Amino acid sequence: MVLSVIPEPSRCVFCFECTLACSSSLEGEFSPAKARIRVLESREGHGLPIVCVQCPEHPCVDACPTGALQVEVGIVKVDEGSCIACGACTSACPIGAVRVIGGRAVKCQVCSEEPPCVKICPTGALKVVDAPDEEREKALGLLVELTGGGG
Amino acid sequence: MYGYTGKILWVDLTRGKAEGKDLNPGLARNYLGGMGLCMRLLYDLTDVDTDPLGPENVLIFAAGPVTGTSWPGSGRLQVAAKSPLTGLAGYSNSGGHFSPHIKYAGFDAIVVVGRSEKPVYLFVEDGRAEIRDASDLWGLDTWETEDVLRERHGEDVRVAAIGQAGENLVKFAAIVTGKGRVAARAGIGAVMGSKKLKAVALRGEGGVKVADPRGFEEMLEEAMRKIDGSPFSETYRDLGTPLLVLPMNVIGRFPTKNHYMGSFERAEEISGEKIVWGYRVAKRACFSCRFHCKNILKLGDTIGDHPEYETICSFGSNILIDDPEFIIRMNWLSNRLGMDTISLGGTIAWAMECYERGLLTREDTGGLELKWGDRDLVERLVRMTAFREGFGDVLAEGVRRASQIIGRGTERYAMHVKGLEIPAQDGRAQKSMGLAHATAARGADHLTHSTFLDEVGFEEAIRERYGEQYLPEMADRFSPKYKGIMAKDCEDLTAAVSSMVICVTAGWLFPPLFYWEDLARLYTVVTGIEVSVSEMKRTAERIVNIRRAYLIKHGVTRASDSLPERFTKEPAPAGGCKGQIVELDQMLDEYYEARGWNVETGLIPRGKLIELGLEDVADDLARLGRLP
Repeated sequence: MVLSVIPEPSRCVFCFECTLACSSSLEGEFSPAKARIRVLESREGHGLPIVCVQCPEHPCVDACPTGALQVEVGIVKVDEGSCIACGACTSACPIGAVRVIGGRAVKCQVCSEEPPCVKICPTGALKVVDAPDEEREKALGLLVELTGGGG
Repeated sequence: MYGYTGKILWVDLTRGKAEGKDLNPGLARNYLGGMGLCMRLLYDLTDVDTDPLGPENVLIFAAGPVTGTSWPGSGRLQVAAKSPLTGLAGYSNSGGHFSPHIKYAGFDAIVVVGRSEKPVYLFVEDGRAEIRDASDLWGLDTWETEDVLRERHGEDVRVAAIGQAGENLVKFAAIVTGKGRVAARAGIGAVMGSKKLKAVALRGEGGVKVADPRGFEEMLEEAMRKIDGSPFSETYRDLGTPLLVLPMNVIGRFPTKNHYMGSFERAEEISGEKIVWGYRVAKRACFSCRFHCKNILKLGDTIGDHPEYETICSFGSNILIDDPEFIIRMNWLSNRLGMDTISLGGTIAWAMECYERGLLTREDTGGLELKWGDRDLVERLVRMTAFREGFGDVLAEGVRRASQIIGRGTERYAMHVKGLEIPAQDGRAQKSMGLAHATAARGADHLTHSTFLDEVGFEEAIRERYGEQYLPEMADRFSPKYKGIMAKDCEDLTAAVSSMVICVTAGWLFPPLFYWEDLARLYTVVTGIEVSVSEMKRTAERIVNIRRAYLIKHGVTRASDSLPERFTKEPAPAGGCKGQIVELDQMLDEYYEARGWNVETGLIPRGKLIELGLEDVADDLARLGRLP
């Protein structure tokens, strides 16, 4: 079981409140570009929240040449000191949930048991759950499918 | 600065230059942003002899201090220019996702002057702006334009574009953002077309910082509780403005047959429920809005935004059409071609009534028979208008000018105020709306005053805001009493909220959850500029008064604050407001009184202008002999 933020894209209304709550909490400003969660548009018209679901395979960790990405209690965390901003993690992630912003890799590290993104979502399109491997794999699979595999 | 980015992007298309300049802090404090900033700049940069479609007109895209934050409904865009439709202050507000990206790209507003020789578009990214060739975009509709620009600049680029109607200077052409959220009114799309500016595309990785994050967070949590707990949120979230069709039809406020009456016998067929529930594939929000009142509909292979209440009237009841799919398609077609559905629908409805009355003939229409309810004809007229083909060239002038071109008494059936077509509120059913239409600065409009308190009788809000002594009349939609007092306060609040820029229907004017205290506090926690309730109210009044002063410069007086006789002299023939008229004069007296304006003339006394810190404006009006 790993604590992770799991999106339910069909409920997403494309309001970006999650990105604003995230960036405001972690970066001290409202900026979707700096958030650990992104929102794309699905072909069906609903929003598509892209966030790391802490997948059990974590190809980002394997791709990191400096060991800056480490798994701690199932959650992939970034050691900013060792990150060289090469972007290998971004390419390795099937949904682009790790991004290089301001010279360091950033991703959702599940900041709390009640993350601001989940709290602010008006439709329950994001939930934070202590999820088994299968649930996180399934969530990743759905996001991969909806993004066409490219993020 | 907090809240603000502190920069305005100035674009001169004649010289081909775009540069950022510092935002004057005094301008920010005195006019807030959005609407206020637009009205001050419009006043300063244009004049009586400014041709709305000439290079000397300005086109302003303004965000505000709250734009880009997580405050509910703060994703809105304010646009302004001198209106080619009214020749007065033109302003238009849209939802969507464009406005916050003005801030993230590094600016509080974009001011465009001049005129390009060739079609261009503006690309703004992280504090830089480029004027780029748009030869390949000219001639495309707004959906195609958006697709090309997103393909070129990336999925996350936000676009505001004109369609063919704007290129062809249709007087009620609109600016369309994100394919379906539209700054539609007053013909600002034609101003954009006259400048040969096809689109503005934005991308920014910047952010907005607030001065007191903790104070903001506290306010936000309270706001979320209020919004989620409001009994109005559920249906509004589900249907959006289309929810209004059935209740407005019951009270006789749903314009039917060119505003002849306010109840449509086939309203059930085009209800919000039929349209939204019948075709919805997804719920949708404007940026940073927990009301998420929009819906994405699907028809055939196409998906797009739902038609708003206004559009359902324009392509439905007001021309006697009861086909939801037709309304959905015409909404999309108007958005693609880039036209205000209110003005377009109002102009077509006028033509149909005049044809029925024999005042318009096939000779005028190029052989077309203008019959009520003829869907194929309407679709043809929409296209002919956008391309100014045949009779469409007359319709493209808007209903006032079109009726002057035709003459022969057709003016009587032209439903407009100051040249702007009347939206979908029959003032005979809700008196405050009659007053709002008559006095709104941009011409017939319900969203300049947003007098929604007597719509379904918000007695509790009226009691809290104004006091027991105004009940029951103020809450009674048929009573003209106290509507001037309510309209004044609602107009001030709307002006201030539109300056932040926040959506008026995200808990401010509807439903009435937040008020002046909240606004002053919100401005303070966002900007760090300590503003009291009384200063906020005075600022709002300043904005409304400079907007009025701009009109007064152009010759507007009490006589201009009028309504077509259909509303003031013809009692509603049937429906929920049968027998009612709009008692306009009585409401005007009360409104001018509440505003501190001269009751006989509608002019602003010098003392009022001085009180609001508008000495320069008072001097201008004195020179022109337009003080009372």
